Amino acid sequence: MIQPIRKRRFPSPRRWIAAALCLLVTGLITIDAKRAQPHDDSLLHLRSGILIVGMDPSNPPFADGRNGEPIGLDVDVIHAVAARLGVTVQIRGLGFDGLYDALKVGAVDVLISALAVDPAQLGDVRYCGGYFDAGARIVSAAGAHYAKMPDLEGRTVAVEYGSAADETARLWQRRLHRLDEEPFPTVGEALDTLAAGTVDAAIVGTVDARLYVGSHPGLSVSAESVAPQPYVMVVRGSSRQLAERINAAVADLTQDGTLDRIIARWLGGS
Amino acid sequence: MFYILMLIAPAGPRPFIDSPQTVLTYHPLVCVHTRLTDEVEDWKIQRSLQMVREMGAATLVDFFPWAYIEGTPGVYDWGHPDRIINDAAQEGITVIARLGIVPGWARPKASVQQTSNNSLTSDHYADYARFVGAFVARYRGKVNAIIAWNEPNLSFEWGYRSVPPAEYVDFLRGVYRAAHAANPDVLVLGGALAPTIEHSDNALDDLDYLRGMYAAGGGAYFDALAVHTYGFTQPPSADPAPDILNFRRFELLHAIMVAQGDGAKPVYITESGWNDAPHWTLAVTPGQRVTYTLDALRLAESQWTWVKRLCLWDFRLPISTNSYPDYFAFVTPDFQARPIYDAVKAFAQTP
Repeated sequence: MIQPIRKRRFPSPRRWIAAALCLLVTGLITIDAKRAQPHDDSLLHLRSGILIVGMDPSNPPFADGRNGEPIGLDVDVIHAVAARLGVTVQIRGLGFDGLYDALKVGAVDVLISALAVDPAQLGDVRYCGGYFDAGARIVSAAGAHYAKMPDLEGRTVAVEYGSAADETARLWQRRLHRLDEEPFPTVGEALDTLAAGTVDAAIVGTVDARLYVGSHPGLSVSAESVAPQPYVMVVRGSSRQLAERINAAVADLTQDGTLDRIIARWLGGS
Repeated sequence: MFYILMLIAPAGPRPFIDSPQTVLTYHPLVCVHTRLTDEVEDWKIQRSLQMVREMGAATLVDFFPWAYIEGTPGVYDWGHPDRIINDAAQEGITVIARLGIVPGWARPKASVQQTSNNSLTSDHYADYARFVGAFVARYRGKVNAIIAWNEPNLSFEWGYRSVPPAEYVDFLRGVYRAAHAANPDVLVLGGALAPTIEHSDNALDDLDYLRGMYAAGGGAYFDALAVHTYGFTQPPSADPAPDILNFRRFELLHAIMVAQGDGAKPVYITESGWNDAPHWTLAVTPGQRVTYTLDALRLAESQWTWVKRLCLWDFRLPISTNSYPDYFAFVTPDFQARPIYDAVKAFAQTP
């Protein structure tokens, strides 16, 4: 049915007043939002050419400072990011417990320390995008083609008792018709059992999976994690611009393959 | 409206189903540091405490943040500590309360200075002492020992300031007086120093710090010494030395107490243990962790008669850190007991 065209009428004074009030309120909200937005001082150091980085240097292969200057995956990643930002890195070694406080009081500009998002910190800090997925992966005999959890229907998997991989396996036991799980006290024992051919697969974290497969050529690691666990860099909540620039740098490093090469350097494989 | 408000109001305390329990243990030395502070759900608090009791730990240490309780000066919200302390009493467990975390109103203004949760300047020492007095008075008969601050020899624990021991003694003096005014029987545990050999802007060696505390007259302001002593990669039998961090480093701290004429004062080891993370540079294997922990308990029980409790770090984290600190825990966030839990439980149940 064709609707009759309504004749346009000039708005009443009441509508003018309402529109004016809306504009006023919107303006006040905008001004208040600008006032409330914390001062972003995160680029001050960048302008002086230095990025002060907090990390716990006791956690190889991400950062290991036992022989002096820290080396590791995180160290290489932050140097690559800094190169994209056109600054040099100054690393400050900290204990794990002191990382977030150092960031909050301005002792460092950014944290990179094999950190996952901690919901309890979200009010004070800003997490950048992930640079490494440490989540659980399926390790199996090369050629077995277990890429995702449903591929393990009817199979037996080894896990470290109480680990995140154990939780993932138990979750999928409820989803699949049959998935047998063998828990072991350590990751190493779970993987050794797989290497011995006693189980069909092992589910372990990415770091353990890649390091183990590097020395056991008959095994392979699933390309995707079955329970993603991104490691992220962290800046202060007010450091919006720095977070944006770090994210852009990580995107560049991912696209040109630099990030994969750094990860392969420390964990083997590709 | 009433019904809507009822729907959005927080739940009341979860009622107890069982009658009051008793911890069955042959080894009252066994203690564990829980992390119930950030636990929201009652059933998780109660399940944790039930597992602590079943493990045979008759004492626990937990953290009660000042900022959570006195968010507004003079206005106290005792809801969460009430739940933990009452639930622990229900399980027959004695609580040692660690008190810290400065509320925003007692910290330097953010517009003047970026501060951490541990930033307590001397003009607010009296506020902290008043809070301690209120806490001790409320939990008289339930909490008979408090730890005044945590690891004041680390700059980040001392609000990112330098860490002169005399400053801590000034702080401790007010706490001691306020606590004893509220309850003359309460034990004020001083120290709780981080084991470190650093002499830098970040930290001061715990041995030197303790000497500094005594030099500043601090010995008069704690009833017992709280000690943190970790084994790291060494067995508990490893010899101590001033430049080495291991379990028996405590003996060096105690030697300082003896030299100061304070050797008869009780000691509470409020943090200790080993970590069995696969990659951490200071970890051991899970098997070594079990052996070392049990050997440490036997050593402390047989030779360190002045040590009243040995509290193992830590029982359970509310959420995973997804990093090596997860491997200090005795049970996982979803309450799966790790091998160390079963080992300590078996130890506690054996004469």
